[in-house]
Amino acid sequence: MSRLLTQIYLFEEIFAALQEAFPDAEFVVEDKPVDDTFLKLAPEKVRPVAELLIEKFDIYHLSTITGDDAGDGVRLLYHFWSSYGLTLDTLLPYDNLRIPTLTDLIPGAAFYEREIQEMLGVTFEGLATPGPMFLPDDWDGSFPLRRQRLQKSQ
Amino acid sequence: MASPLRSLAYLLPQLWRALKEGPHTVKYPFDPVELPAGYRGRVIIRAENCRGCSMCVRDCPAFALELEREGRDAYRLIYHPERCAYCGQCELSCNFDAISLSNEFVPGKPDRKDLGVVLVNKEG
Amino acid sequence: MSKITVPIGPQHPLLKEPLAFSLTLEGEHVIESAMRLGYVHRGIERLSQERTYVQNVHLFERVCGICSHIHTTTYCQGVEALLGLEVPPRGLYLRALLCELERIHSHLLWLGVQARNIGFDTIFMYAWRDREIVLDIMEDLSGGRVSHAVNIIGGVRIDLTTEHRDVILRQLDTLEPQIETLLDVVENERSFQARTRNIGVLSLEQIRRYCVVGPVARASGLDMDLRRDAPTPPYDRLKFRVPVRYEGDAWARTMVRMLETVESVHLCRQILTTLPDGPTSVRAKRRVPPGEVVSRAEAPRGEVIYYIRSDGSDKPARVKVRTPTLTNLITLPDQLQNISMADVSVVLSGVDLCIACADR
Repeated sequence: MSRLLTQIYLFEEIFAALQEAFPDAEFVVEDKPVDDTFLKLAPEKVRPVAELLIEKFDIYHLSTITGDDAGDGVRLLYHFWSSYGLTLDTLLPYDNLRIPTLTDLIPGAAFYEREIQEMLGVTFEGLATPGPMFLPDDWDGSFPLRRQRLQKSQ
Repeated sequence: MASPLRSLAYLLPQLWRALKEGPHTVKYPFDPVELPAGYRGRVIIRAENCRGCSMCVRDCPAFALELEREGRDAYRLIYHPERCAYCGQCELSCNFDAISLSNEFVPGKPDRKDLGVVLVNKEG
Repeated sequence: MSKITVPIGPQHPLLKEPLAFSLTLEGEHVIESAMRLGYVHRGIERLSQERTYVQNVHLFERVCGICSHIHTTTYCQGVEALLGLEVPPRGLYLRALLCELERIHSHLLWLGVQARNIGFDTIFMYAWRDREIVLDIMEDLSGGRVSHAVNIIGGVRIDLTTEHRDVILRQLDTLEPQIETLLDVVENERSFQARTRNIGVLSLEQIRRYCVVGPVARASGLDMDLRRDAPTPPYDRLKFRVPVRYEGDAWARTMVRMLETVESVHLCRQILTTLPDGPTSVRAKRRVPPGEVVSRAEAPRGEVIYYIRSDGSDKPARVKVRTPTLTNLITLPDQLQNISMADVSVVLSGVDLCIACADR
């Protein structure tokens, strides 16, 4: 029970700091299983919020970045962990699949961003890309995790 | 620091254990192999219990079971051991205690055609 | 001095799984390294979208052979949270028992690989022979040595009688002195230390920047273990220590893993002696209501995270798997910088490569 209270208390502090730093931005908070809180925000706010989390709250552990073709765009989820989970949830429209990279703040994000770049076609501005990561060298250039491929096979 | 006495203190129990246990190699298939009772081996059927509900077909992760249906009581359940992953999901999914896994080890055959097995053949 | 490029992999005696390295050497020292993954990429995340939740339990077991049970545990934990199921305590204890047994088997396997890469074949033989005791326990429990298929959505499919429990306790009694012997060798043997001390040092700052997890992180001073930090039952009731060391080199990683193995034996005993009665599983519906879940667990190599999104049908809309080896691989270029060619084998095995996990 005390862990849950710590989570609520710490998250309120974080939310207050975010609202102070970005007064005009819209943040939607949702609690998700297991032990996670999702923070929906606009794509251009991801990098400043990540900077704030790292500098002010020492939340530096990025578990992974999930890319998901949600039907109305590509959804990116940045899963952070600091005694409980905190996920930044953003949606990129199909006609503008670009977002700045986090690798200068968190070098460990490189593999996750490269994977999303390869599987979903999102461009991470500022990311060094030395070639394909999981797909073979002679791949035809399509994006395996996009919806159209799933619908075609069904 | 490792001294000869210390090395002996390590090695003598190992030597004793190796001598006591003897070789573990089994000359399969000439010597009998004892597999534990819960070992997940060949898929077997109790055909009288099968109702043709196809839950096992739906749940098989390796798509190793096929149900060919001609009528309510006329159907064939075919099993492909070469696709089977021996996971036991069919046994868990069956509500009528018809299909299960024995602890028989499945050897290979030179021709793929010899491997497909018709488990249930009901004419209705 | 002229530069030579030495390829390691995809097939190489040092590597248990295919991974391609290209090392540029000047004399005996590595000045540059390049890595190529993807040789065992099977597209499991994409395959999982075409299979039902029940079929996916078995698909995710096959992401990796060494840590198969923790993958299904994390997946089932996530789906059970989406379904709102509560697994009975006996099922959770049995799941944890297999998690700890798998941790022991994975670390003993790794110790053999590490020893072999150093040239200390005796420890390889002893470690893998003692691993057979653990594999026998797991085979009697689940029916398979490496692929257990124990987890189902809603609990576990196995159960344990009191006699069988006593047999396992006796087998653990045989195993424990062997592991303590191996720990003693790692700690005190001069040749082992000469090959692993001060090799592949990673500072705490590097660990934090790269978000490294698992024994590699704990060997450099980062005290993070999800069994203690995000305890799911039964870990909230079990007493165990998390070994942390501060040297950050390959020897510290070996020590952390061996100490963890000893702790896992104690944990297995605690689980077996405090096993609650009751059913081991609950029935689960096949259609999962729409929702999303982030599920984490501590695999032998670190934090494994699953993100599952469901759209109300019986097939998941998206499953994302991030395995700990992928996180730890990013430290390799740093570790391989300026080391002698002879130490490359120690560095590569220190990270505990499980490329099937990393590639999925």
